[in-house]
Amino acid sequence: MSQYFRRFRDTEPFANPVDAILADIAANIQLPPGLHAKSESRYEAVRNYTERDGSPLEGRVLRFYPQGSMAIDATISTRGTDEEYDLDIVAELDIEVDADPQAALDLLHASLRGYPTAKRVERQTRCVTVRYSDGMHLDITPAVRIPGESDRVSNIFHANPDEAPQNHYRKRMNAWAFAEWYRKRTPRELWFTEAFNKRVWDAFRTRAAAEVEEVPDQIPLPVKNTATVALQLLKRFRNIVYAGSTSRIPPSVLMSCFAGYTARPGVSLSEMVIAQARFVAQAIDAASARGERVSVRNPMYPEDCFTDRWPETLAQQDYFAAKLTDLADGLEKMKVSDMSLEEMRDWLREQFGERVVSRSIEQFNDRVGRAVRLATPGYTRSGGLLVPEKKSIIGSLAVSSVPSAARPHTFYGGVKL
Amino acid sequence: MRWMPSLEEQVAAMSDAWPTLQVVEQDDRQVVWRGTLRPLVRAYEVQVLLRAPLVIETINAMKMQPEVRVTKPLLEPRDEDSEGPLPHVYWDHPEMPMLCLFDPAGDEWSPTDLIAETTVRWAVDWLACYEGWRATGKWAGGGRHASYR
Repeated sequence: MSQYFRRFRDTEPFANPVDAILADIAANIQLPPGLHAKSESRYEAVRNYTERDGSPLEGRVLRFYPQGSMAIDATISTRGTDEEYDLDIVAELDIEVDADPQAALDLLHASLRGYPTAKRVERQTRCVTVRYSDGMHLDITPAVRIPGESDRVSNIFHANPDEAPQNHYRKRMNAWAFAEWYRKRTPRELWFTEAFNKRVWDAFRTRAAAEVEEVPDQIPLPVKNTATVALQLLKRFRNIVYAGSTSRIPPSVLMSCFAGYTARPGVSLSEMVIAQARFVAQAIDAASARGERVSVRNPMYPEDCFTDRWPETLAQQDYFAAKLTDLADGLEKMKVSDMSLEEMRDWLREQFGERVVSRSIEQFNDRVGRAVRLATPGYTRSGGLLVPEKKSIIGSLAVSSVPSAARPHTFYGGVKL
Repeated sequence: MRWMPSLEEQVAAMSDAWPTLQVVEQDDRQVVWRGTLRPLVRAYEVQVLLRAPLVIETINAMKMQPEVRVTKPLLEPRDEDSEGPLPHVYWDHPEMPMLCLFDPAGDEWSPTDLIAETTVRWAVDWLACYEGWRATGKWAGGGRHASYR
């Protein structure tokens, strides 16, 4: 690799076309900036409503805090849609630690009855869901702190109304400590954040223009590092793999945990997706080789088992491991083989969904075209095109022995009649 | 009058900047290079032909422009595309048309230019736009069409 190209890559996280296209795909599955801003106000509004005067939980909500994807800023659109987003919240309640699971869930449900939203508030097996007409859902999980345990170790409640009470149970968890652990392992990567968030805004503006949506003022976006964006891509891949499935799917928290273990700074996006996919697949393969279901536990509180509901069988985990291995193999091949953009598009559509990939390839093409029209690309000595995120970067990095930006030119030629 | 590089100077500049392109023919009238360019992920084998100007007083960029052709894989047309089956080419060959890399009316290129600093970079631009056009149906690199039969 030339000195020029190495320096370019140090400051340009998406110099490689495969990384650039994956970043565009990830940008297109982010929580839109407008909804991101709304999520925080809704979170507050739901808490205020839950403990309002006269509510069954008046004065008994001790704490609201985000969990899952919301807590680690890894939210993506929900399975089966490109427009809906789940946000997970823990409602720490002042109730008995050994409260009846059904009663605890019903209590939270009752406290949210009549909440002013256009859609129905639904009681689920472990949470209560508040839906909004713009596609956002808040899943609020009731929890109670366990006395004598470390901070925020809690019971949550499992009660499927269609099952007999003897199948209801309490489950210990520490979602807060897990999120803290994840955040410590995945610190902000400035080189990545700036370039990626620019793509998120570009993707959102393109979509807003097409759908005549209101574009909010520029607000800080939450994405902080390569590992989390790779995790979002892997979750999107899982959603596509299981798009037609009605049974349980590999849980996001399992993938988040492996993403935390795999995270390391300075790695390209494609390398990180490959690393995460292989890590999960290898853990599953190792468990299957022992004839066991994979078991993943909260690294900060091992009693909190992330795999208590999936996988149910070895066949289920083997299927997912095989899919992940195919994904990693395909991305590695894409990086070294002689694939055209058209072939890459077709393969990526199968992995991440047709609509999102088509939109991402169009954005990639527009970015390349804009750089060509403005004569801002740089070139590698092997005839590669480098499209800078910043217009000034080619001139500032150019090394005399390597071609820098071209001068403007106009493609010409006739339309064959 | 601007300095006009000799064929030898063109060859030296090409060798410095684009090591994947090798001279395969050279005499006192013209040079032909062949080799690969890899604008995105796929590699393309290209041929670049540059002729020495015959009469300096009658320089015509249109006639004297370097000829760049893609030899492998052959360019794939898209039938019934609004840009034409292949945008921005001169159809002087049914399978390996010459790429139209600049507007001759725009004073963008002349024989006083080193093709290592102009033509080859523009060919990389062209190939990247071609890949994008194949994948999306949109030629994003701009340009101007001349209608002709």
